Order: sequence, then C-alpha cells, then structure tokens
Amino acid sequence: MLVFDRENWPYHRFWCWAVVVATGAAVLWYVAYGGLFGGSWQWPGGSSPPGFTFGVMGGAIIAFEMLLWPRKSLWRGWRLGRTKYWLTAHLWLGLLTLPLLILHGDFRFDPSRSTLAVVLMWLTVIVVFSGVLGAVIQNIVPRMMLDRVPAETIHAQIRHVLAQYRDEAEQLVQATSGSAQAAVESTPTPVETGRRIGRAASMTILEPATPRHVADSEALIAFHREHVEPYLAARSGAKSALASPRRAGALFQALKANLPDPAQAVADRLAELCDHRRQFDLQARLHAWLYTWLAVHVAISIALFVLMIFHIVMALKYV
Amino acid sequence: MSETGKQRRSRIELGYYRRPDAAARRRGRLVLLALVAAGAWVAAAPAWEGGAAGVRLFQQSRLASRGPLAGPHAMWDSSCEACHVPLAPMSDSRWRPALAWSKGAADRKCQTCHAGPPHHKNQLERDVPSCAECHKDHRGRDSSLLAMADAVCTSCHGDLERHADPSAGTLATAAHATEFDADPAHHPVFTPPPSGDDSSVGRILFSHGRHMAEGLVSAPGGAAFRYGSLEPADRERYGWSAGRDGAPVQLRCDSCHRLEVTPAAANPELAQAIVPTANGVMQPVRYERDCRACHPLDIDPKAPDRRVRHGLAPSVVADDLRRYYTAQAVLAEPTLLGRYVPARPMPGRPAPAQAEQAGKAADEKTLIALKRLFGTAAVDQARGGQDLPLGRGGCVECHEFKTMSRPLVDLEAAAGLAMKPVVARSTWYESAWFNHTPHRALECASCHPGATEAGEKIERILPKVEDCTACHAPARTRNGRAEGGAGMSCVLCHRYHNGDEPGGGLAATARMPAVPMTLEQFLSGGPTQSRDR
Repeated sequence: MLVFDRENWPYHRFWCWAVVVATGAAVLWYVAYGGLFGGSWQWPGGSSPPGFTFGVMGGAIIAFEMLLWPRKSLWRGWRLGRTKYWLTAHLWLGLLTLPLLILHGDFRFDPSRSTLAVVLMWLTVIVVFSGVLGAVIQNIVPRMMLDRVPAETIHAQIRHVLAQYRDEAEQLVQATSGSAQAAVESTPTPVETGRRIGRAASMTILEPATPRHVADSEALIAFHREHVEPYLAARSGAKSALASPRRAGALFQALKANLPDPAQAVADRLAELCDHRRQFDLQARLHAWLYTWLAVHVAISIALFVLMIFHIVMALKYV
Repeated sequence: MSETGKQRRSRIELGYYRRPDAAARRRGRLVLLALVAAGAWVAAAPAWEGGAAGVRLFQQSRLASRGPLAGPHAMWDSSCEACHVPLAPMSDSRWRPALAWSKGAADRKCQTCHAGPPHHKNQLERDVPSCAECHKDHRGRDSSLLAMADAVCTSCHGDLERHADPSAGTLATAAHATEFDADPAHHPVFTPPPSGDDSSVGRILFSHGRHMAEGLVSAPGGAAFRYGSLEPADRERYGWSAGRDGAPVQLRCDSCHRLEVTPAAANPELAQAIVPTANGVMQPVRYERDCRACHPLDIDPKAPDRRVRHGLAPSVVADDLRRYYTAQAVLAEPTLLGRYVPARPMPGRPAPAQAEQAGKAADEKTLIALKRLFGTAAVDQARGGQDLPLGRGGCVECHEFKTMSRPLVDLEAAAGLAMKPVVARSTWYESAWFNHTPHRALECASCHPGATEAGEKIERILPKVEDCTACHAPARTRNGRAEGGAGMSCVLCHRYHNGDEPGGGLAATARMPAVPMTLEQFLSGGPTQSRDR
C-alpha cells in the first residue's frame, strides 16, 4: 500500500491540516509567552506553561507512536481500528512531535549544557526524519519494484527460489547436452519441495523444456559451467558477467549462435533464469532501502522512549 | 517457457513467515543495542561523576539538569537536593493551584541561605512570587540570577493600585511603571531625597560652580587660589606639576569624587593598587581627604602647624584650645607651675597676678581662635591676607549652626554653640542602583550637567531620565547616528528584596539567613541535608 496516493490522500488531508494548525498555535503561544509582542524577549523553558504543555503533548504522542508496534504484532485480531488509520495517525502525530518538542526543549542542541535533554532532542530529530524518509521511500520504492522487478518474490525466499533455479538449470542442461542416460535421469517429475502444514502442502513443479537430448549442444554445458551456475549460486552476483543485461544478452546471443535449433529454447530458459536472478538482486537492494530506515527508526525510537521515561521521572522529581 | 505467477508462487515455502527474515533479525539486534546503550548510560552515569571533561557529558547531573548552575551555585551542580525538594515544584507561582503538601517547600530551601526579605510592606500576599519565578538557574555558569523579564515587575507595577494593600500605608512610588523611557506615563521621573524640610539636618554650604572655576575665584577677576598656597604633599593630587607653583588651581570632578575602592593590600607589590568595588558607588566626600588641603582648620597664624581636628563639637574645641594655650603659657613661664592657684578666688588670698594674667591671655587666645573657626569679619580679612578666596573661613565656611545662644564674645558663649549634623551621601536615588564603574569613560558632565554652573541646586546636578535614555533605550538611528541599545530592563537599576530599606543592600540584616551553617552543612544544602542531623 502506498502511503500517499490519490486514493489515500483524503485520509491524510485532515491530519495534514491538523498538524499545521497545531504547530501554528503552538508557535503562537510560545512567542506570545516569550514576550515577542511587547516586553523583552525571553526563551520560555521546558517548565514554562507552554513548554511544559508541549512536553506533555510530545510525550503522550510518543507513547501513542510506540503503540503501533503492539497494534501490528500483538493486537492484530483486536477491533482497534484499521492499521491503515493507525499508520496515518502515526505519521502525522509523529511529525507534530518535532515542533512541539523543539519548543519544549528550548531549541537547545548544544551538549555543553544538559546532555540528556540534548540527546533527547537529537534522537527526536533522527526518529522523525527517519520516519519521514521511510514515508518517502515507501512511496517510491514499491513503484520501482512493480516496474523493474516483475519476477518479484518474497525477499526471504530469494535464496530458496534461486536454489530451485539452479537445480532446474542443471537438469535442463544435463537433459539437453549431457549423455542419453543423463537425459533420462533428468526427466522432470513433480517434486514436492514445500512442507506439509496441516492439510496444506506446497508443490514445486519443475516443468522445463522437453527433456530431449540434442546433439552438438555441448557448448551449453560449457556455458552453464562457466557462467550460469556460478551466477545463480553466488551470494552476490554483481561480479558476474551476467549481472549486466547487455553483456548477458551478448553472451547468450553468442551461445545461441553455436547451438542447434532444438537447444535454443533451453538457452532462452537459462537467460530467463539469469534475468530473474538480476531482478532478485535489484529486489534485494530495493528491499534494503525499504526496510533499513525502519531498523534505525525503531531502534532509535526505543532508545528515545526509554530515555524519555527517565527524563519524565527526573523532571517530575526535580520540577 | 516463461513462468506463470502460479508457478512462481509454488516455489515459496509455505511456512516461510514463521522464521524471522534477515531484516527482522537485524532490526531486533539494533533494538537490543539501543536498549542496552540507553540503560547503560542511565546506570553508569553515577560512575562518571567528576570524570574527565569528555566523560562528564554523560554524568548523572547531566541526566536531570537542564544546564549548569550559575557561578554562585556551582558547588551544588551535582547535588540536586541541595536546592530541590523531591516532587515539590521549585516555583509554586507557576503550578497553580499549588500542591498543598509542597507549598513553599522550595522557597524555604532557598531561604536557608538567602533570607529574601519582603519587597514592600504594602505588597499583597497573592502577588509574591516564588524565589525561582524570578531567579532562574541552570542557564550556565556565567548567567545572571538577576536576569529576568520586565513582565515580572510590571505585572504589579503596571497598575500598582490593584496590587498594593492600602491599609499598609500610602504608595511611595509611582502607581504605573510599564517600561523605561523618558515618558513620565511609563516611568516616574527621578526624585532626589527631600531636602530642607528637616531643620535639624544640616547641609554643606558648597558651590560646585565656584570650585570648578580656575583658581576657585568667587567672581571674575577675583583673587585666585594658587598651587603655592597648598602644602607640598597635597599639590600633586590637585593637578600641580613642577614649576607651576604660581599657577591657579584647577579642580576636576575626581579631585573630590572617587569611586569606592578596595585596597589590594594582600600583595605587597599591589599595596598601593586599588580596585573599584562591585557596587561602583562614589565614596562620600570626607573633610580629611577632600577638603583639608584648601580648608585647613587653622587656629593661629603664629602656630601654622596647630590645627583643630575635624568633627569635634564646638565646646570640645573650646576646651582643647583653652588647654593648648594654657600649656603654651606654662611652657613660656614654667614657674607658674610652682605657685598655688585656687580653683576659685578665696577671701584674703588673691590669685597671683602673673598667673591671673596668663589665664586671661590663654582665654583671649582661645576666643580669637574660636572666632577664627566659628566666624567673624576679622577672620575674612585674615584669610584674604593669605591669598585665599574670600569666605567666612573655619567651620562656618561649610557648616551651619544648629544653635547659637548669643554672640561669640566670651568663652561661655562657646558652650552654647552646636553645628547641624551633615549626612554625607554616596547614594542620592535610594530606590535605584547605579554603578559608576562601567560609566567611567564618560565625562561627568554628560550625566551631571549642572555641576559646573554657579548657583546650582542638587536637582540640577543629579541625572534625569533623559540623561539615561540616550543610551538605555532600544537601538535606533537618529540623524544618521546610532543611539540606544544599552540594557533597559527593570533589574538593571532596581532590586526587589527589602524594598522598604533600599539602602540596606545585600549586607542588610534582613537578608541574613536565620541560622548560620557549618561549612559541611552549607555544602550539603543546609542543616536539613547535613549528615550530622
């Protein structure tokens, strides 16, 4: 689900205006209390009426923001409103914490004074900006994934799928270019590769090109040994000649020129498998973009939450 | 040969989601790291107390404190409870309604060291803020605990009629003060203390205009007072230089008016050095230091070294002089001591003629000396002969008589003489505080314009609001010249506590803490925090 698309914008419009209005009101109160409109200006501190109010609001919002995790993982079946609405509120309220807590923290980012306050300020900034970055990435990367990775699979299953590709390529090549005995042995039969869970079972059907031995197709074996097999087996295929679509195209073109017509379809299938591998590499990179920010966002949020609780306790004790 | 979506799906393991993927595992490790780091900081902070500068950023006091304490409180930077009462707000004024159980708790802590006497007797209880409402700390070592917004003052002084208890007496200050400028509607005009109403208090008969004139002449063309008339030890102080004995004396303001100073006597090399005190007030003018060189209390031209001590009552001066002249007579004729002279005339035993004559001579000399000090026309002539500006001379040149029962024609009349006491002021505007030290670069006449004019009155010499607002005003440009920009907050000139006794200052008895503390109690924040209690 894209966060901001034409369909979702109506849900965000209310929150967007609410955040703008709340920020404006907070700034207005802050500068009015500080004496901007008459009198000498003094920065209202965190314990001033506006500063304290913003601190309480910011703390309450952070506590709410933290609830998104149990909402998505622990309370999934509960009737607590759709996760989509929770995410919308999470986004916009999280954005609102930045002005509120900067006003509460007296614009202080200098560690020479109160280290905890400054660390909290910087953590808040990092959390909010990582969240904003995440929202932007979530709007861009899925589109790219859709356009550029048509063979997309589940990220955690990439290595599993590649292992199947490797087996399939091996069987195809052996059946086409190996000995006649090997061709018979490599006749594809439905193989149950999934696990049985209750009544459900997954079956992986290896259905390659017709396993027919083709004479004078030894070049296929050499090509497979030299390029395809290492590329499909490698943890990172970036160094392979097949990682580049142009070079891969040229290599397969050259291979096909040396193959008789009946083996052309096998070469095409190998090219397709390699193309999938390239897409999986791209998918892995996009996936890293899509979720690395989240790791930073969550980890820093946890640190922020822990230190915020300590800050609240100390602030109330020595108010 | 290309795969269908169904074929692709069929390659996926059914229970794949039961195992966390690499991204989730990475996220879990990061969360754990963040938790450990945050917890370690909180847990290990006490161990970093007093560590090296880099480590100090993580110490415990930095976890709770919003910033370093001001210099005067620096020793309690790591002792929160020296000033804070746990769970009691520092400022009750801000946390209304104040929590009943903690009301005033923090103020009492402050008052362990600072008595904080009331502002005025007619202030209303509800208007009295907490200590921390005005004195904000944790703003850095160099911050001022007196720096506060004008609104703290103008919240009451903007409309004092609503914030004063009329039953406690009439207001001694303006009813409306909203900001400092030359508009009387915003800030009251400066008012010197009333003079002349109390006939028992004397004033110095003094003309700034005459003293600032070259040669101290009383009128153009009059006899000038020259450096040669001063004793050699005094000349340099009044601007003399070698070869200028015949030059007329030219006084400057600092010939008599000097900043209050602290002698730096601890260091022998700096024994002569003096530094201005923090208050920056002018020392009161004192006769011995500022007047004696030109106005010596001579009693006899034949005894130029013999002078009367300043500050004695006339009757005491008369007794001293009588003893002096009697002693002089005995020194001249020691045989006088060998003859019995009864205290009062006795029948058949007349006083020896020589002793009687000596007594009368001493009385006469005493009377002449008293007249010289307490004024006759003859003395004016004598002073004229010494090339001094004409004046009455002696004590009455500057002081007024309190009582004079009869003319000074005999010694008995001296017993009835009394001078009006003089209050030597170093502060004229008692409700405000002024530091001369930062203003030393200015000519005195910039703020005291009437000081060099003849016939001046004190009202003309003391500065007015307009003299201050040339600098103490918002920054502006007038006729192409930058003006203003200096501070203009209320606390620049005014202090809050002990307002009914503004002259008391920080050392006033009312500001003393109730119970003196031992050093250990002091460092731990007061008697209640002491380990020995």
